[in-house]
Amino acid sequence: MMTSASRTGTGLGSLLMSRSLDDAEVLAATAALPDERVLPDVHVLKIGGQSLLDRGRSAVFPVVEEIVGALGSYRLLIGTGGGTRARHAYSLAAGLGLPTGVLSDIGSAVAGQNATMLGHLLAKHGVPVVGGGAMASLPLKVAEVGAAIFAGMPPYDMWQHVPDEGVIPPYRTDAGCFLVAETYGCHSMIFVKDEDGLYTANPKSDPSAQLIPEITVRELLARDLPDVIVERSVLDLMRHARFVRSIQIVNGLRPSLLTRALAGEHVGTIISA
Amino acid sequence: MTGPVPDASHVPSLLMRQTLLDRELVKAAEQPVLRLLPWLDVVVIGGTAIIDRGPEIIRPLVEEVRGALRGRKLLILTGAGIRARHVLGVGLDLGLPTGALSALAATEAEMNGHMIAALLAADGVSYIPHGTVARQLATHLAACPAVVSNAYPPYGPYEFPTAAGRIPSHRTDAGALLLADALGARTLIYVKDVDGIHDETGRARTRVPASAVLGSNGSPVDRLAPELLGRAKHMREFQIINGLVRGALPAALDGETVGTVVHVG
Repeated sequence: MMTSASRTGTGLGSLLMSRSLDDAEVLAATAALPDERVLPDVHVLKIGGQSLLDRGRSAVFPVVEEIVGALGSYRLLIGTGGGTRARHAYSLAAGLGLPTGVLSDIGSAVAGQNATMLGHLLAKHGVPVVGGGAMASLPLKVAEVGAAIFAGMPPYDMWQHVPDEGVIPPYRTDAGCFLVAETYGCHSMIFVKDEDGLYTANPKSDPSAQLIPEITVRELLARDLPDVIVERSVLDLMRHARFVRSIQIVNGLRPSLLTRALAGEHVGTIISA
Repeated sequence: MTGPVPDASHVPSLLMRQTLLDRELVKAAEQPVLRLLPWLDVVVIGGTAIIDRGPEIIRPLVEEVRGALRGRKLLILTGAGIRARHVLGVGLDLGLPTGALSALAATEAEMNGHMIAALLAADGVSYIPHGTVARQLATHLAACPAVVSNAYPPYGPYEFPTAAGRIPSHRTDAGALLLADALGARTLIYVKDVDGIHDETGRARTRVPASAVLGSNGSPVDRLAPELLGRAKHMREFQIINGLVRGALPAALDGETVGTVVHVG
């Protein structure tokens, strides 16, 4: 009855059929198997919502120019953030006592608007916006034009984890973009924001904040900073990542940093697992 | 920040200009969370435990569901079972990522849901997909006493990297708990093939704290379900019952403890 699975040296096929899927032996057997990177030469970019797209032309056009300049040399998956409209809707929905699942759906819609806008700007270069579950056509689009745009919010909807406090979805667009990079075994994950990287506090409100050029997830969690530039859920996800063991946060408001990050340069903050 | 960059245009809100990562600010937005469907009962029919056992086990359980429809609103969620384990095995052998395995396994839970819904179609019960559950469940339940859907959550390529191994961690038991909590459901019942969680003497316990289930082997529910219960906004407990025992499901729906109640703590 079993086909290829039962022929593996691990005997995984029969373990899977007879044991709990949480069984330690089953998990160990699955961990030992080799894995394949699905899109190994793709770089995932996350374009911030509040940090970039909400700023309009003066912030977005230079980033678009850098993306266009990178098209010949790099394959890109470009995810979008939510931003200030998501914050307004979250604030309203939370005030109404609505559950996290409803907020998650709202967040998706705003990230979708941003993907649509970026899509219009990149349309003349042939870069399409792909919808959820677009894996079927994604490789073709990336191979043909070198890039595709997607809304960064993960599709968890009413199945979104709830946070310990409040109702703001803990897995938002940073987590969504990271998971795309991790699942498809991509080459790098670059978060394009409006700061030079991670600071010891929010530099917008605390002038004494210091830039942290490089840090590990473990160190970062231990420092328990009051505010961090990427979603905390990304740090949790990174601890178990198989492919994307580091992420870089770069300042999209400063020219050429994105291009240099694509080339593998350290130009912002690198957080590694 | 350098250069004359204009400020982001903001929509005024309490969370305006914030990273959503500042703990104090996020806390300020907190309100009691509404129960969207406070009268809803969620029943999860196990894949391996029930459906894979075939017609002799499925038919009488479906009759019990049919008999319990009057005066209730049920969301019936189906598990995946042996075919999901097979497709996981093949996918793992091919080196596919966890996020690919998740969607493949979820398909099997969906197929089981279609079968259960077909058996109850004459009573007005249909299978509805994830998107409809998330957005039109209220309409469907206003029109009919129950609907069936897939207990797997719609994580697909967005499944988390796992702490150990490569099997997706968000499977049917976790999916059902997340959904029941988001909807603010009244009860959550897992229909399995054992009387509940057993003590050292082999008897099913009546009540067990979720923390005790977490550390134990041989729990009939996936590990993530009791973990998520601890963080849930509404769900304080769920019950594991034996679907091979006639009368257990109707009694559990009536609020009786017939298996093991796993509670927060």
